[in-house]
Amino acid sequence: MASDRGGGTSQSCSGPSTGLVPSWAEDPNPADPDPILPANLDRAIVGQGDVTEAGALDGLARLKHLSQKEALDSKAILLVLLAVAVVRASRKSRSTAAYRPSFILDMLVPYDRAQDMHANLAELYPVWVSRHGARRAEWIHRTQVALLIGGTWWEKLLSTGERLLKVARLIGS
Amino acid sequence: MLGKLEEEVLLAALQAGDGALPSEIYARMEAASAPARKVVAFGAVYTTLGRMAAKGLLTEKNRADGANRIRRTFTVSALGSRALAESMNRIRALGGFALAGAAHG
Repeated sequence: MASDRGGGTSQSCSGPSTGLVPSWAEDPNPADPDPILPANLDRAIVGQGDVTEAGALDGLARLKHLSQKEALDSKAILLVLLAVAVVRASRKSRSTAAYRPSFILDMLVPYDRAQDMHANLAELYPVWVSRHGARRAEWIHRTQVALLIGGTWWEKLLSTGERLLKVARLIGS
Repeated sequence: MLGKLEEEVLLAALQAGDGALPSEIYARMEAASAPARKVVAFGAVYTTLGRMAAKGLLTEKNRADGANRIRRTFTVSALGSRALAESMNRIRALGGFALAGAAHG
């Protein structure tokens, strides 16, 4: 299918296929005079369900009808790999940007308190995402959950200790 | 005598107004901190709010939000305002505000 879109066949290659060169690179088409521009890279990879380096290279080759020499140009390949990394990062960022309530918080904190904590964290989560990115925001969220659980139990421990101290003082006096 | 975090929480709660949510108070603290400075953790602020409410420095109320969740809201009590005023007076007496002005100016 790739060769159909490329507008040529691998028969135009000068040498036999070694298996190391991708199929799209064996399809030279010097009729396209456009240079390889970074602006075209996103067009090359948009519309592909699974964003992979090979898929992006294939898309770029189909789009630009690259010759073997052009396709193997290191600059073009580096740009494609960069574009793939950017698309992957942005997709991952979008997919993890939604707040996910922590199951551990529900387990270890009283229900009403946990609901309030979730509501507060859900309000702060988008701020962390915009400020630090999705991955760091996720870590901040996890740390805050741990702190909230620890704080809840520490509070309980302190209030129990204070009560015991009061009782001990009453008994002592 | 108030701790540094308690002071900051009280000032942020005063700014946020009556019936402020913990996230609102924390957002004010975060916005007021310098970009390079490490911001105090939300978990610590949340726990401090609870402790301060237990001490009577803040009054705590519950209200339901749009999703029918019970939310804790906090308002600075008279005791909290007094404690904060005393703390600020102590800082002023020691020349703290003049020093802060000199550092910024």
